[in-house]
Amino acid sequence: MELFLAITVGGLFAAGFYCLMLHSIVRIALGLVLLGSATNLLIFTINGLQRGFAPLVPEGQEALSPPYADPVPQAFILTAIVINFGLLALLLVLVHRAAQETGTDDTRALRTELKDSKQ
Amino acid sequence: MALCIAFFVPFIAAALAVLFTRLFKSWAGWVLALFPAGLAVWFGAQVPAGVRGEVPSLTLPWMPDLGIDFALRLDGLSLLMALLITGLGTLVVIYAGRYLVHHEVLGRFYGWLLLFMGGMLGIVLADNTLLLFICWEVTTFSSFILIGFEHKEDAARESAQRALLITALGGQSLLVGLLLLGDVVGTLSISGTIAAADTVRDSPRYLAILLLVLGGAFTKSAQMPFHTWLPGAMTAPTPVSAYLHSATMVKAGVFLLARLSPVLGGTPPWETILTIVGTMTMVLGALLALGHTDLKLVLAYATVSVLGALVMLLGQGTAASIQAMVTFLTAHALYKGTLFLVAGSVDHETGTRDVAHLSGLRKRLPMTAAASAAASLSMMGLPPLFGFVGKELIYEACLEGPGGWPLAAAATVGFGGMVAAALRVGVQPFAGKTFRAEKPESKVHEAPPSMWVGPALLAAAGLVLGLVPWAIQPLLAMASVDIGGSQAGGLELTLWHGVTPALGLSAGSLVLGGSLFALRQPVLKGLRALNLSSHGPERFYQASLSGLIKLSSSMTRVLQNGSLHQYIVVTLATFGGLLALAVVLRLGEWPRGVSKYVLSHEVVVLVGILVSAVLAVVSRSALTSILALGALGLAEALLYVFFGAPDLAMTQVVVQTLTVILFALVFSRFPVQPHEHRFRWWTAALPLAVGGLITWIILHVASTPSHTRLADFYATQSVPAGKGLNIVNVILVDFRAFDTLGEATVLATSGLGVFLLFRTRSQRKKRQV
Repeated sequence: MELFLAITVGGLFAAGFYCLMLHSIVRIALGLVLLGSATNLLIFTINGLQRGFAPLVPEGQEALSPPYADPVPQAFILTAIVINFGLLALLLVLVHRAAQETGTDDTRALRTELKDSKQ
Repeated sequence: MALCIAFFVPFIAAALAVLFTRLFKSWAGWVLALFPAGLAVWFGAQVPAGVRGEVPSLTLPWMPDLGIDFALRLDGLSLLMALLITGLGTLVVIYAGRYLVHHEVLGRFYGWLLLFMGGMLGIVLADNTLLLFICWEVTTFSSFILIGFEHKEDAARESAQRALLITALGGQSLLVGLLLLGDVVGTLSISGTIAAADTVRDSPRYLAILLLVLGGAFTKSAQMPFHTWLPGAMTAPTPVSAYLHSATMVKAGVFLLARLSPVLGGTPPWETILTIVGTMTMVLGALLALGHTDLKLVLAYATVSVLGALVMLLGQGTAASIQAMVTFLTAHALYKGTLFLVAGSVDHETGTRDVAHLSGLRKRLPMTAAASAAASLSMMGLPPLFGFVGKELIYEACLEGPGGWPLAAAATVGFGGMVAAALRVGVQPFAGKTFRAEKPESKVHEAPPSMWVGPALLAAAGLVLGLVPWAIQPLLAMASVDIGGSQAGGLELTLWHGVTPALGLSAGSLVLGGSLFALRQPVLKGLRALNLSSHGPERFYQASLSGLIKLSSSMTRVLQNGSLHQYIVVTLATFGGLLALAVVLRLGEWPRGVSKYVLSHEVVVLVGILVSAVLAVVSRSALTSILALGALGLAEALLYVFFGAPDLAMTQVVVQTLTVILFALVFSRFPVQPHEHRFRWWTAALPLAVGGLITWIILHVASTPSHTRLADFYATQSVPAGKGLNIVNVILVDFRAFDTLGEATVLATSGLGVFLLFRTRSQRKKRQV
């Protein structure tokens, strides 16, 4: 499974990077979402996967005995998902406002528009 | 323990400087001088113990894992330097209180001056190479600030920048050298390094260490070709020139060489490099001094010349030359400190320090003139002054040492130049029948006591030590032994050596200097026509500085041209290049042991992820892309479900739903038609390559799966310590609760940003209405 997941993660990274290289700022935002997913899956994969066995201690027991899925990457990813969302929300509103002010979402045009508005 | 307090006293004084200057106003100089004066007395009291052979030392662990200790040691060499630093420091602090009395930021000046004193004292007391280096950089930095103290003047800023660039680059070289040295010896302790000197000299890295350390010492001590910063440093207020740029800081390089000479010295490269560089600096410095009429510039070039002589003597490395070095270093500190302070007084009282416009000042400035006369006689090396004692020792050392007659001849030329320079700065302004100065004669009067007491005391010390040299003999003998080992002991200072070849050379240099002074007009004209100081190192410095600026502006033009697309391409290509390098160097082989076992529903989900990603990328319609994004997130959540992460799955579903809603909300009202694009394979090549590299690296990492020890800790501690059954939750809200707090802060900040951005829009609409 790790083999196929690794390929998927590589594909997601490629798709994310591709979006970053486009000139539309909307597509760039899209790329950031893709990169976020790719990174989360990367963290999920690199330490090995475990089918089933969520890291939940059964009721009445003091400790969890193997096998169980590693809880550490899960804690990281949980944080990352939420942070990603916060970042995206701010970015989208910025994109929206920028488009409102300048009438374009093309980064090349945005640059000249902003220069003009400064003058 | 007292040593530790002594180390920190100047720093404490520096911290108090601004407050004290406010409190005591024009008396601040006298009050602040109590700190270095107290230190000088304490160090003086240590001399008898030192002569008995006691070496106080102190080692406190500071960063023991890195071998960096707070280690201090007060041997003879340290004691000599410490006495010079604190003794001269006391007089300079008193002097500056009057010299800069009307300066608006006198307190700040004192702060930097005392900070420098702390750094300099640290250099000579440190018994750990890295502690020494830290103090070294303290002096570099405070020197930079003090040179640029009159920062409203272009020249001051330019000189400060030059001094910083040259000495800080040397400092980097020194750091590398010291670290290499520590690596070879296995300790950063200086006394430990000296004990293991043979290891260093036999090491194949000896030459590299030597050159790197010399890079630091030569830049700091203004050896050719790094000397150009020192004349520029004369833009600093005169007390700084007297203290940092003649008596103490520029000797830090010489001190470092002396300190490390038991380790690095005595080898052919050491002897060759130090002798050649030192001699060159000595002769050329003296020559350059004669091409100027500004009192301070003449003194600065004469200082360069003396520093060259000291380095040359260390290079010779014989017992006699080390004794001569220690003696002359002391003599120079006394007379050059005096002459700088005198130059400051002349400038202060007459409004100029150009010797061409000065003469006959002795009637108006009697005390200053007396001090100046004594100091310049010492600089010329005339009996019965201490400079004479030092100079005779140098001639003897040259004649007896490996350099022989050629070196002695070079020294004679160097001293000849110094004699002429001494006549020019110390005698010419005061001699002569006619009074000449910028101000009219009636307005020129003797400097106030706080400005002549320093020069007078220093000049008197030069005279007293000349008459009774045995008074300082034990201290200098101790310092010589610390540099040259026991064979450098047995120093005997006498004023009169009888009629010897050295005396003949002395007479020769006096004749040479006298005639150079008599012919001063043609000499000055000739040297000005040659304009030596604007060639060679000066031109190199200017060229490299402008080259650096050109390079950085062209790099900015290429890399920071404002195109987001290009930034991303450059970043991505660099990232990919580094990954490729890692793969080629370390991860070249085919990854083995990666699980290929896969269940059919998992394949469906993976294909779903890839298909939605491709769809999101290639679709021309923004709406399709957004929907594909939603599908991708849900498929990802399914993966989390399959592999034991129900919390992730739930969060992912919620957040992805919100994401899609947010995208849809923003773009349903998007003011413009989103920019259309066509999928292009050549744009996709770089991302695909980087993606492929990432896959390759994941395969390597995942081929050695391990349950982390961390996981075991959480699995066993979650219930007893965190009182929770869901381990992921316990980690987030208990074990790593601060991370979660940070995360919540980020979210709140971003929410605030979103809110404010929306609000500004509504305000703008209001205005339009």
